[in-house]
Amino acid sequence: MKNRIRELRTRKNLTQADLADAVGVRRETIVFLEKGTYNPSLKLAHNVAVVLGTTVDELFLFEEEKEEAEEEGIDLVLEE
Amino acid sequence: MPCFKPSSLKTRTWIQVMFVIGIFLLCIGLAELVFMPASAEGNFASAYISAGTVLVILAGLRLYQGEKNYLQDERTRKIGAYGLSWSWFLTFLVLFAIFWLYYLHIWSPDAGILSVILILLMGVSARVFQLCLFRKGDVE
Repeated sequence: MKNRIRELRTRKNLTQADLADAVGVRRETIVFLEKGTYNPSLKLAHNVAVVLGTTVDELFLFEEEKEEAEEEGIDLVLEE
Repeated sequence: MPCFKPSSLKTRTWIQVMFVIGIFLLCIGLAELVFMPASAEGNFASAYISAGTVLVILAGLRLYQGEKNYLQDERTRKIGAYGLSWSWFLTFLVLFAIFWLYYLHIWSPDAGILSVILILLMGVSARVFQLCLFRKGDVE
């Protein structure tokens, strides 16, 4: 899943190791998170968002996921 | 900046305690081996030595690797569990194959060889699967 972790982290002058220490995970986890190859748990996503001073919605680009899903014919949101 | 710390069970202090307990068990086992005859009732020397050795090796390795490298987070736990699952499945398939080899009188391994195969296969394949998944990033 695409995200803005690297952008917000560098804006806050944090290294990957700093962010990893702050949220209590290994540095490699932050590396794969930034690459978008690892989908974090809700708890980790929330912790990263808190440390970077933002929200989960702002941090992860759900819109792009939604567009991709719509292109594939999958409804992500059920609306009445 | 807020700070979210991992479980205290993975802290350096806890691993040092495990290391000391391991040495303690090893000492008890060795003392029993030296001062009590092997046939004596209540002699658990081999159990103490085995448990102590495992604790000393695991805790020693973690202390040697450094705190950053043995920290388990949600990703490592998830990948670890998947690696073990795949290892279990591979072992199941190998056991299935060995059964048929035995049943068709093609190969008849004794219990010792079979045990070594299973111990090595489970240990090595779990590690290999975990390493592959670690490089991939996630299990999905």
